[in-house]
Amino acid sequence: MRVLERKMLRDLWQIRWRALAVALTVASGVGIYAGTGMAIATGFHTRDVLFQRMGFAELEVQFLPEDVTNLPDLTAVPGVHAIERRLVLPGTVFLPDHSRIAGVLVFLETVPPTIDALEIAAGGPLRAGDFESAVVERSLATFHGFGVGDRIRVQVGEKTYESRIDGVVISPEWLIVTANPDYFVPEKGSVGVVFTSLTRVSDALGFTMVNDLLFRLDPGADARAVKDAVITRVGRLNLERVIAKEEHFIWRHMQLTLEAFQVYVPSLVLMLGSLSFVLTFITVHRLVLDQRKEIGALLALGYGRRRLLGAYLTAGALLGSGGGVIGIGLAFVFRNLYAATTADAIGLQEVIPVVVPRLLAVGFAAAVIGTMAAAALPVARMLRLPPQAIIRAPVSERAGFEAWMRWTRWSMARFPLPVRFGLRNMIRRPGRTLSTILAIGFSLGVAIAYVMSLTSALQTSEQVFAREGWDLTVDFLYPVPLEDLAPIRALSGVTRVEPYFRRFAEIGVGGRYESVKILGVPREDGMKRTVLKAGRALSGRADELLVSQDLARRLGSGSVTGSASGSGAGGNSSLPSSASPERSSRVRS
Amino acid sequence: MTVALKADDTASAAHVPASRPLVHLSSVCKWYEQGSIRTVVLAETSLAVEEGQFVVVLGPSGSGKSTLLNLIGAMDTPSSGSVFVAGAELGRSSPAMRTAVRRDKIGFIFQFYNLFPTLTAAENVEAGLEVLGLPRLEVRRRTREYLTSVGLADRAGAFPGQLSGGQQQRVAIARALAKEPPLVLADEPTGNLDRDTGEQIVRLMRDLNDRTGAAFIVVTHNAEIARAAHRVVHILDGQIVET
Repeated sequence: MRVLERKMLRDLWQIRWRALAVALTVASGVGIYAGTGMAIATGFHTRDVLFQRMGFAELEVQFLPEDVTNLPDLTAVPGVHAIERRLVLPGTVFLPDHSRIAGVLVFLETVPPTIDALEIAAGGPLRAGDFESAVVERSLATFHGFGVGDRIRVQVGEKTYESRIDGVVISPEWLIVTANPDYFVPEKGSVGVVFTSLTRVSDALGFTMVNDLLFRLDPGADARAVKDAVITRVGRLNLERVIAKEEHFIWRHMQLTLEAFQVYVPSLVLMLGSLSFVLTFITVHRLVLDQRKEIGALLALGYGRRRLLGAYLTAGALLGSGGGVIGIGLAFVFRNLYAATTADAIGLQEVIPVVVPRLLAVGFAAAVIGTMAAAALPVARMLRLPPQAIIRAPVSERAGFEAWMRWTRWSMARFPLPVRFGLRNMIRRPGRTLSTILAIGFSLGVAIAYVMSLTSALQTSEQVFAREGWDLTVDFLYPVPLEDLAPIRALSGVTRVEPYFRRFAEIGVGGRYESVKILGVPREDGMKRTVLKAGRALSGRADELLVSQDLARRLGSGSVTGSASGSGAGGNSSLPSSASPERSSRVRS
Repeated sequence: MTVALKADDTASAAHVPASRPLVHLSSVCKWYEQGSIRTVVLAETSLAVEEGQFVVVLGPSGSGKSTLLNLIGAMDTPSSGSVFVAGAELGRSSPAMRTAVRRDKIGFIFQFYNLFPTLTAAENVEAGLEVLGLPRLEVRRRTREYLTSVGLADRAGAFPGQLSGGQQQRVAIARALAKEPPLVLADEPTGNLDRDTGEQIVRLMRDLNDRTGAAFIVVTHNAEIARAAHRVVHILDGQIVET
């Protein structure tokens, strides 16, 4: 190794703790950038692998319960590979402490199911011929203490189904903790899901009734075309919803959760990147100032400016490489940490980590280039001076410093001596002080922005719910006549009951259709409030719609064409406004 | 001893006739401007130094003697006038050319030694040689030879912090001379040393001047050093007053 490079290495060793601080800051930047990127990729990868492994339904059709003999033959629809039928009934699950939680009882025709397959977490599989056999989704075990061999009761309407728990399972539909707001209020474990055999119902009824179809499509099939074809064929059923895989709650929820996490990554990386740059710049600047006599001596010996700049660039590259290598190690730690934390927060039991070499390479390259630039700047600045000015403090710098200190002497004359001493020490190197203030500002800024954004989101959601005028919501398995609500109205504590009618519909603008829930007209003074973001309120005409902001964005603007399933009705509607939709029947107590 | 400029360096250099002295300053001025104020540190200075001469520049602090040395050493450029060193005109030459002159023609000795604290005595000497592009064996040979000539062969592995002031200055002298330049510039070489050590250093430089044939220009305010000189130049308020 040449003497100059040897010298640079030893110089670095002399400032090893400062160099380590730079390397660690750089490493943090690389680690956060690549680590969070890989954590997010891990989340998506885990979702995709698990869905693939468990045969997540590529299309799901929900409708009001129907005798299977009345169902159209959908196996002939081009692109459909397999269909499995289920009866999915909302109800309540009796907990061991005699309290109840909302529940879903899923009667499976195919045991074990191959679409939305169940993975056994404990115990064994569902026994097809055994009417008492049931398996429970893991949230019932995790949050409510149910175990294999326990008995479980689920009330659906007026009937209570009692079963023996043969296994605890993981279902792709409930991949993260059970809190599907399509059913109930989102809270971890707030939904108990029990799977049992459909033959229990068939035997009791004498016919097989289902309300849910799960589809696996042929490889390469056009999901949109299949969906359209299926909707056409099941149009006469009382359709509730037709859900493509990408529209399923669990898919969207994971997508949004992981994407939301992604929002904070650029600001974190920017902050740590800036900090690394400033810290490296300050450290090398300090080193350069300390070594100005040596740099002058090297110039006197005949070393060229490029050679010296190269030596400092090498030092910067070494620091950056060191930081980059540590950062790559940290990236794996951060990835595992973030992925595990996120998985734990959303209740994802399994994490399948992925390595994204591109992120690691970009992080490493940014570390090296950034550190080299931070190292080169102060040296390049100094090397512009004549060698004699480098050895001695240059006249212009001294003059600038003296002028600066004269100003500080003048401006601080009234302060007591200890204050003057402290302040002057702080500002005698204005560049460094400014860098420090900026570094602190960056750190605090990002932290405060993060907290503010979370608080804003929380307050927004609280305000939205505060506007709502209802306390309790009741869903019915079937549409009910208004007079049947009389017993609810008569309940003690109920002051008002407001009925809604909810149906599945296809709604579109300019030939682009979206599957939506259509909710019976919310009244101006209704408990379900809407906030007009654009357009005008409903005037009472039959062809008017309010659409949610999200749907308005997806549809674009124009005349809306739609059809509600089962009714055979269709027509054009004007699009007067957008608002937030929901639900079916609300009770104020 | 002959040290030639590299071909590519000399190509752009302004040459002077062979009869011209090793160092030749003609009406050199150096001033610094700060706003509308011009501070003249060297005024209309002319000087010639022949090969092998031991010249002492005497003058009080602030008289301009270090500026004179910096101009001769291609460490700074004159505001006006011309500075020729070993045939190269430094005022009008490029930074690369001035670097080449410093590398090939000049050895520097500083008041505060300016050794590299993280390199050993031998490595400090090597640092001056390596830049010449000499073969590794030659670098080692010269390092040994010149450390021996300054009496520090046994301290080759010591770091500057482990050496006394006098020893450090001797390492600096070895570093300057190991390049075997035709000209050695010394800026207050005994300024940081006690009297006895200072005298030893002066004797050493004088001895090396005789042995190597390198010309020495020693800037000092210590009149006793002048006794060892072939020639003494007095400088006062930026002007040579006696030579």
